[in-house]
Amino acid sequence: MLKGMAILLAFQVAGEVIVAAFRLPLAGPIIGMALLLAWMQGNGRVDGGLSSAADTLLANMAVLFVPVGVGAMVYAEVFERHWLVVAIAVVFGTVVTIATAAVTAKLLTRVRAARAAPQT
Amino acid sequence: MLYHLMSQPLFPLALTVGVFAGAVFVSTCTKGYPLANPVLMSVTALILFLSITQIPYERYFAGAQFIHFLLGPATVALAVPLFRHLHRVRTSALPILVGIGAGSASGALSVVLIAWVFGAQEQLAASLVTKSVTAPVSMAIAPQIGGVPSLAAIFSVLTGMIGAAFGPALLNRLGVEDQMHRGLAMGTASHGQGTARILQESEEAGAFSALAMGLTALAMALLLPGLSLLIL
Repeated sequence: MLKGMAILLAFQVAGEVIVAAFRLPLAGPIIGMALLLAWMQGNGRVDGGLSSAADTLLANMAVLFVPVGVGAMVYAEVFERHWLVVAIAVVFGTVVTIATAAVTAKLLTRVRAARAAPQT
Repeated sequence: MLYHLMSQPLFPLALTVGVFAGAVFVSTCTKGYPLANPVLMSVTALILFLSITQIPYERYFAGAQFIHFLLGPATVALAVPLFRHLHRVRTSALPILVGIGAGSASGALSVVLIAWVFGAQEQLAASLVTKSVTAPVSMAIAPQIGGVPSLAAIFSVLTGMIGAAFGPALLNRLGVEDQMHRGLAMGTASHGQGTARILQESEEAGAFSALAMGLTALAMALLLPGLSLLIL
């Protein structure tokens, strides 16, 4: 578990270093995720300790968003004045994104399958 | 006395975990009723508590930051489910890329449209448009397009909450059953929380959600700054 956390943190640090060095508008952890993926690809397997640390973190991931969410109280004024725009934008935008992404992927998968299977 | 308690990092930390554990219990009792989303309930309860006790957010966050910090390694950890399902990524590259692209583009456009219809000021619109990108990245993009970083982060978390709560039900309505498609949609729209939620369905869905989250963040980070010059 500890070894797994050490690996995760090492890759996060690597990601932060790259983001800082190249001034990318990206988050260090996302680059770290890509680097870790590449590393595992190179190894051809997931390290045992890494697996348990990752699975534990991911199983409990939801709680990690609470502190930022509570931060909304700092912007009470913004929410008071603009709650309607925010509510509609958040809800409608999310619905549009989910529906479009899912249906597009589904249709394209079907098209691919239809092309691959010869018509009898 | 409450104020003094909250001055130690321990109290906000214990409070957050405790409230969340309670929220999970309530969620389980209601058999996963969408509005009984643990994050939504915890955030609401904590905001109410802090408002009533007049404890400033900074004091709360001084303790809660130890939980917040784990978001970093957790994001990196998403590489593991992704690795386990990489083979399917290779065979379905087109549906994946176009699905993510169409989803995030249509979402961003609808936000710009809604902001315009309601006459929202540019700063608000700019903070809203990155809502489908994971919080740390939307914070990074925001200043480049005229938005407020911390506000953008909150809109991202809010979107994640809504998507995680209602996304699966929406997908059911649309008849989307394939775990890859469900994962892609959740990750594109509601990033981290969406991934956390869809991981409960299957590791495969979680892997694609993580992939979608990463690619959406990358695409938005690269394209939005340039596009904003045209639109906003």
